[in-house]
Amino acid sequence: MTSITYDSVQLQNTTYIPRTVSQESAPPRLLNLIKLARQDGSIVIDDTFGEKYIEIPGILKGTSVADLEQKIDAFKELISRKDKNLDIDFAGGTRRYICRSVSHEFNRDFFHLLYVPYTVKFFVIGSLGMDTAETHFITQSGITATTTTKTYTFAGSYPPKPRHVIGINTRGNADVIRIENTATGAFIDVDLDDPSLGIFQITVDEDKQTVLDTYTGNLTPLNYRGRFPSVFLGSVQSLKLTVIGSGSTVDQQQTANHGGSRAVLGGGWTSQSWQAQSFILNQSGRLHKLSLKVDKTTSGSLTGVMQFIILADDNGKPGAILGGGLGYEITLANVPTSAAFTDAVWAGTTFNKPFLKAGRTYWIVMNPGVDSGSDINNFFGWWFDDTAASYTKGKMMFRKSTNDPWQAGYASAQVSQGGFLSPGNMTFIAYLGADGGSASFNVSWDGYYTPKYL
Amino acid sequence: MAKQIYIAALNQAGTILKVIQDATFDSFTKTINGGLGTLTFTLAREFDTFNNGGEVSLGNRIEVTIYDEDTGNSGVLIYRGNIEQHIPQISGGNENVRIVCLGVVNRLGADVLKNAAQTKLYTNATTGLGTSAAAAVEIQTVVKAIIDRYNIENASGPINYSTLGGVETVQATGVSMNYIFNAMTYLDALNICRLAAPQNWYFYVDASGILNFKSPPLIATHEFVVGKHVKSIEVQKGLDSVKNIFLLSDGVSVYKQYKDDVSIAAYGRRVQQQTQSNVQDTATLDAIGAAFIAENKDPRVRVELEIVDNNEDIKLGYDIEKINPGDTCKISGITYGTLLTDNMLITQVQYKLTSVILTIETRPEFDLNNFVVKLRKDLQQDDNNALPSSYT
Repeated sequence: MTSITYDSVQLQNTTYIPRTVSQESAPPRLLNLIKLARQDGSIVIDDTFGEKYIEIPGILKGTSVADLEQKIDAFKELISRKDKNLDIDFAGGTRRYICRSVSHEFNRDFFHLLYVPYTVKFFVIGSLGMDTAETHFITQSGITATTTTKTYTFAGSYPPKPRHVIGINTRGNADVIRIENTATGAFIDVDLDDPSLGIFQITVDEDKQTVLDTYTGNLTPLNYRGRFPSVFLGSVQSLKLTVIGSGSTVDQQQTANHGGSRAVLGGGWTSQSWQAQSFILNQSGRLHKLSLKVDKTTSGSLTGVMQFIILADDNGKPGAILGGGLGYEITLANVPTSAAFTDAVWAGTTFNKPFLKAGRTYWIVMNPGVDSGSDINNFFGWWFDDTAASYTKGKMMFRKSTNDPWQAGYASAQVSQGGFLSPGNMTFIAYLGADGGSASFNVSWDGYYTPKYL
Repeated sequence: MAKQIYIAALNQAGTILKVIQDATFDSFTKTINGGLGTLTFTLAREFDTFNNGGEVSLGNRIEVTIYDEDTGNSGVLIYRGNIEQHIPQISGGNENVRIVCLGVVNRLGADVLKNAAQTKLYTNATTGLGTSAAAAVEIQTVVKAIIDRYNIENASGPINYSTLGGVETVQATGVSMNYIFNAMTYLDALNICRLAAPQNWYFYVDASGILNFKSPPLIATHEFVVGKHVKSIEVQKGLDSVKNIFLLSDGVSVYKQYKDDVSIAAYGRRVQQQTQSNVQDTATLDAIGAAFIAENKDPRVRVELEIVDNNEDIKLGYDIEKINPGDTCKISGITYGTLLTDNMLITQVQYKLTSVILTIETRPEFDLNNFVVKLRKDLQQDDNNALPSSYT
């Protein structure tokens, strides 16, 4: 060993003369064992590493008695510093341990006038050693593809915890950033749910267990799902970056029409009924479009559009309007006279589409306030299935007016009560995709890790 | 794969503030006719700087999610509650902070069932609960109405029931009740509904805040095998809480006896007296009386069972995160005669990361302290009956 430093103070010299540095031993393994009833042996419930200590025995030398006393005091002050780097030359490089001393003993006898034996015992924070510099193992700029895969074999004798920095240079139609270890299947999804975020930077730090917006010094937490894509040692593995939001893919749908019935809707009739259908997305993002089985009956007085707005959930019923009151619309001309699935497209810009989160309940609600002229010969139909099991992640509800409560069933603007009680689900197909177009984003991906050692 | 525990601190809107990495906890309990109990975790932080980031502020939400071999990448939420207490302490060389959380079910006991300012509500044949004129209605409708009222009166929620896919978490009992809820908490009101429901019906608010009100399954949910899943088992059987005669009054003119002659012949007369002054008809009184006798006429059998987690061993142990109060179980690999059955109700689960301790009972153990507390609550309820219908 040519160098041993603590807090940048060299110990491998003619003053401190260390004899050994016991860094090679791994920390003890702690097995949590439980003995089952009437079963031989025990089973392992938990398996972790215990504390690691490093001992450095040596000799402290002075040029005189007084000088030795001063050196003892200075040495004790140095070793008392907390959580400093103990850097040891090792195998051509430097192994770092972040340490705190637990004992500093001087074994002084009467004849120790110009030198004294000592032993320092350090506790290693985290029980692991590490390299002194991060390894930059992924450098990828100008990513415009939806998936990018990098393979790597991680160094060290303990699995590291990488840090991923994703630079969003052009947001485009990127809605979710996913980082995945394809070997284990573990992935983390980070929602880009704030449309005002244009150019920014996401840092996914497994060591700190944080997901932050780190652009220009921000440290704002970001919403995420799943778990950090941990890596392992010993073999090559693939890490994959997926940018979700381009294209147009079916995420949720209910296309059955058991019972052959429809909600009868239209503004200005006996009741201005509202019809709603709840759903839960598998993936976060913005909806490109909706497709619903609809039709119209008209003798000419029906005006307006079929507007489907998105509402948040309020404890099992439609709640707050999302998207600023804009919705997915089917123009009057495009509503077929014979029931068919018809696309409803967003009436605003991609920027003001609501960002919907996976696993949460939302509602598609037909707004009767944007059409008029309804009567027995002029109305819209939105078709439904009358069995609850047709879509297990939602249900249909109606209300007679904005002043009436939501009830499970289908609307009828023709009747005074506004609709009929029934289990079931409206027909719908929800397409995920910010704008339905091909990838328009530009991101960069940098991966860093510090090799760790037992 | 080693079990990974994520303790997330969220604000009341549900946004993650921080994943707390320096916390440890021993256990928490999930109880039938309730929900998640107290979770106390200890932070390795200093007395005066433990909440500099604001993530563990009082009222914030805490969610504990487990990832292991059984859950895969989606994980399983095992606890959701709110931070109720900070206990920073310094004792000699030890310094840490304990954070006490209560499960969401606690909210049901913290507020009174009401409609605007009116705290006297009546069972209603159409809506479940109304502001006048009590009428008999299916208990399922009343339970849903209680939760609906909770959500209307408490913006922060979130406790609900689910009907998705036609699967009701609040099930129809086939029994009606006619009752006046007078200045009761939501939790007490749910308990009244449970008492009126048939034998062994229970309610439970799970980690997602969903209320389950149902009868136990007819077939065991879990099978625990001695030699494979079970660390320890202890069985107690006793007569101390047998009640085979129930004298029930409506506090006005009806005073009825409900009894089981077989139990009386075997164990002697053991009488319980009670007044239910909010019951509005004899049918409801009969339902309560019959359910009480059915649940209390036989000796109590209490089983305490410790089940080990399967995480690090693919052949032994059990997926302990799947076990909840209200589930039923059978125990295999042991001969137990008439002590145990093939379908026993789990009434309490004490969750530790490496194992769970299950309490399996035919009914709650007779506890003098609980009995005295209940007497006090009954007296309080009698006082409540003199209250006006609404507060100002």
